[in-house]
Amino acid sequence: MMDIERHPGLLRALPDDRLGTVAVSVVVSELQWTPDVAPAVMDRIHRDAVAYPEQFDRRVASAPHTPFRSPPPSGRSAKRAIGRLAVFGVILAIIVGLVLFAATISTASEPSTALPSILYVVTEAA
Amino acid sequence: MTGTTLAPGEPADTTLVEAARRGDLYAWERLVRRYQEPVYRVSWLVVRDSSMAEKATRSTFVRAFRALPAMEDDIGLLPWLIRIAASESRQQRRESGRPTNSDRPVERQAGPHLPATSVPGLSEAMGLTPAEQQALADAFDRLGEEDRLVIAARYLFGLSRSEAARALSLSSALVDEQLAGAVTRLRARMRQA
Repeated sequence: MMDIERHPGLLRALPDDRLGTVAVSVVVSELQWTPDVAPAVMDRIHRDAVAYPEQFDRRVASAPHTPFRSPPPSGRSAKRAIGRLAVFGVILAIIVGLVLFAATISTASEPSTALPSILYVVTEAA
Repeated sequence: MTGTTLAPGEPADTTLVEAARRGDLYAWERLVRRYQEPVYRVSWLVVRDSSMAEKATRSTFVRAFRALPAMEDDIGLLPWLIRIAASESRQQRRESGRPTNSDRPVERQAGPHLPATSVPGLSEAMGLTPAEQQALADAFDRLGEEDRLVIAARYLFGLSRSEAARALSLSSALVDEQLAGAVTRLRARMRQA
């Protein structure tokens, strides 16, 4: 620290822009590492998309396919897609079951009346 | 500008911003990777703490993504991110209750990290003795936050006067005034060393 009295004079001789550049460089060069925040940021944005689908889907739904929209699907998003497909399949099965059940009830209670054509076909098929 | 030198074939900021505005998350991830270092540096200059700077950097990019539809087209991405980063970092500092000019621990935190890239003026700085570097760093540390940010905006990130004005929410004339005052105060702090 003996040099402190000797060297500030030399530093003060630098023009403003050089002094400012050197000063901020000395300070920032202490940062040897930069944290890679991208995974955490993208995870947070994905979670927001799940929590607030209305806000998110409005933007994503209007997005055309671009060269940048081709990230490899992560395991998490693939699982989500499979889950959605499963839920859709269950709902579809319930609807079909209800229709068949209604058609069966109608046939049993009014055997002589003509059924609506779609129910008739379904009942026959069943 | 720091962190904005593009490799051949790399899409421009404007292209990626447009894609991200349409909901392209991959485009936003590329921008995060492109600008996380300058944003982290800004945050660190404000909060002077590695862990807090990392949190502020994360929240800057999350907040910026949400705000993309409202981003003014003519502002430029880096000045806009610097503005958000400064705001997020102040918020982090307020929540932590830390003073403005505290010690600056630079220990590496847990989690993925990338080696820092070089900074302009570093070769000149390396020509100084360790004592000179320490004196200069101490003088810089004793500057106010606004002074540190205007010096960083102009001399570290290489922003033009108008870009710095947008980043710091000042008029162009005030940028010059703030910068001149900051360097004058830096010289004064060095004399006090």
